[in-house]
Amino acid sequence: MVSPGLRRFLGLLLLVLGTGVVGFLLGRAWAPHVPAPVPHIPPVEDGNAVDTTTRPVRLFFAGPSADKLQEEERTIPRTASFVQEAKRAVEELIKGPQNGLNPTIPPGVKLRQLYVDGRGIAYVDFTRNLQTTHPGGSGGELLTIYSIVDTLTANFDEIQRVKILVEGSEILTLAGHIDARHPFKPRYSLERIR
Amino acid sequence: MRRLFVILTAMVGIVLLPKFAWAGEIEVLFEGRVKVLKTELVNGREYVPLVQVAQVTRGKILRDGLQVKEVTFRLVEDQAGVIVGDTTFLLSAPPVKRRGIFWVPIEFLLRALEARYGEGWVYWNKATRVVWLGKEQYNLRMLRHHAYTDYTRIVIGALKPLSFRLDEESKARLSLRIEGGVLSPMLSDTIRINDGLIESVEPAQEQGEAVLRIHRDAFGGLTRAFALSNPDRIVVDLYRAKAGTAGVSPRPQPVDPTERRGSAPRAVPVHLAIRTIAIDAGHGGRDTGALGRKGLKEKEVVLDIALRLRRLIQERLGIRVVMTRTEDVFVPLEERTAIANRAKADFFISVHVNAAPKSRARGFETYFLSEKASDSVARASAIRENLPVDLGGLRPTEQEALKAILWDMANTLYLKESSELAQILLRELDKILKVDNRGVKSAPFFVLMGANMPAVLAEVAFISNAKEERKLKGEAYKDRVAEALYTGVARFKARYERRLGLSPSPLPGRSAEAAER
Ligand SMILES: [Zn+2]
Repeated sequence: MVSPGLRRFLGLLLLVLGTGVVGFLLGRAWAPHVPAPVPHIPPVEDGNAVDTTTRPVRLFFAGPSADKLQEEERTIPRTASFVQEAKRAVEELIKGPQNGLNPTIPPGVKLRQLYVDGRGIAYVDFTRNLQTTHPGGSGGELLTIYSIVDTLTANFDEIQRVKILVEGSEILTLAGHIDARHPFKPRYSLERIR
Repeated sequence: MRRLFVILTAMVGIVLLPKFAWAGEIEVLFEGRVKVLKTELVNGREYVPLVQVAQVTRGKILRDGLQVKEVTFRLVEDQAGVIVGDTTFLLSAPPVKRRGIFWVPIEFLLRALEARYGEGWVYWNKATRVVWLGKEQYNLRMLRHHAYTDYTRIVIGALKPLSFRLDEESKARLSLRIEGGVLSPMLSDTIRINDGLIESVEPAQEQGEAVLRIHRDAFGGLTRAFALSNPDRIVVDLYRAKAGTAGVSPRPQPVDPTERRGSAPRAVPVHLAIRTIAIDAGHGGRDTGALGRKGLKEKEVVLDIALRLRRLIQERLGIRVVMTRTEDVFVPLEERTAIANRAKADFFISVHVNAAPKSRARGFETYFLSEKASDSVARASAIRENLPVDLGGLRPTEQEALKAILWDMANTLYLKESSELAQILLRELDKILKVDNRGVKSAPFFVLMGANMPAVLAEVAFISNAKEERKLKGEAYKDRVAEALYTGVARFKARYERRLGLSPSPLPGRSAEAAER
């Protein structure tokens, strides 16, 4: 006796096979794919005019209709450690935009700690109010997450992925929607996929 | 021993006693007066006390029922059949007794009013919850439809034989003109069918006739219209373009190989049809979700919409709906898909409203799980636990490898279907709501992980937008959202089943006319 669940599952498998679907396994040509433009850091030019005490960073804030992130460039002090600079970049992100974009992190949230492991994962630890004062909504949540992730990965070659922590601990989600148990890869476009 | 039996019976009796809960009010306008009836919910259905039915019908309460003019309604507690004279009609739910008084479902009220004032004169507007007596008697009382494999049947119930004509106005539009037809107020709105063949039926009352405009979304095909009697009704059959004659069109090849070996192509594996839909109302309990500026809570709005959607699906598609919550309670995210998996739901729809800070963002968007997320370790392990395949006889490493492959294949299919469902829902929201269409997107949604079925999440409006928050407070907008989601569900279901060649077909060996009853 075969259970209906199994029969149904096998039916689905057969459907997969029956519809000519080696392609599914190999190519997944149908799969949604958001092309991620390769971030680049403006090259530091030789010459006396170059300011070696500061560096530019690209901060990612919410666009006016909250459907994509847009960049704002800002200057932060150069330090001996990129981790210090990464911290500063997140703090600038928390301060919010200056040129008409919308903030992605609720006011009052503080960065507790930021460290980067040997695999290029940045652990970014915020105070509890990142969760408790977050306005919610999948859209708002995605903007918060990827503004942090993109800001770090776009400016620091050493960081490839970002894991968001709250009060030192792993979180399931920030506002009830997006799985935050795993480090996020950057996603430079939150635009619709079709 | 006997006493124990009595006690046990009494205990069972207590458990089985119907629970009453306040439901609402119905206004009955009769003979220049207004009478407000208070209704109560009993086991999820709306009831009125028989005493109040007697008042508005000027009827006489009997020991076992009600007499209105010379019509006697005989009621039996807990039996849905009501004996009227020498016939019986079936209520949607049985009468119940409270403190010795009968309570009846509201359609009984309509029946009793018809006994007093005549059938066709009693009007009931569900939306405004008003019953009134019409100035003009209607003779077209209802419309129902059913999709068969190669045709859709529309049936119009009438109160007397009427002559009619079916005109093909264009490839996409037919009109059924019923001479002397008067539409019941229940037939004033466009009826959305969206079964892949018929899009909608639009009733219109015109001078001396009733017109039903039938909008097709699959062009061409034979049509026929005929009348049946006892009760009087008009039947319209619309065939798919390829299907030439009734019921003998070639069927799509079934997928199950056992079917191919067998000789009867119609023995379709029914368990592949869509039977159960899981609806997840986002957040709940201590998880409020997003907040509107005027204080409207996401958890309340989405539950309201989800319940409306459930009703539409149950009423119009007649299939099972599993809810992850039906009240304001906290349900952990992983429990939500577990509920759907346990119920063997065929697909999963999570309903949310959106928010974005300091933004005028408005409109709707739909999401499905991104491929990246489905590849994640968490998903893989969730899936292995859910995988309904026993691979006994293989070494554990082989089992793992095979399971991973099977799971990958199933998921690839789910992902494809999920993106299709997201697309269909978006299109329907776009048709009904006049706000920004923000597109289909994909992201690693916690609530969609571990779903052993296609799964999508719909953000139907922005609660952070003052205007949308206002709209979400009213009934009409929530109805429209539910209607759009329903239409998407119906479309996806029809498409899915058509693709598998699974649409229900008339019973073999019976004529189409016979099958109609
Ligand atoms: Zn939500």
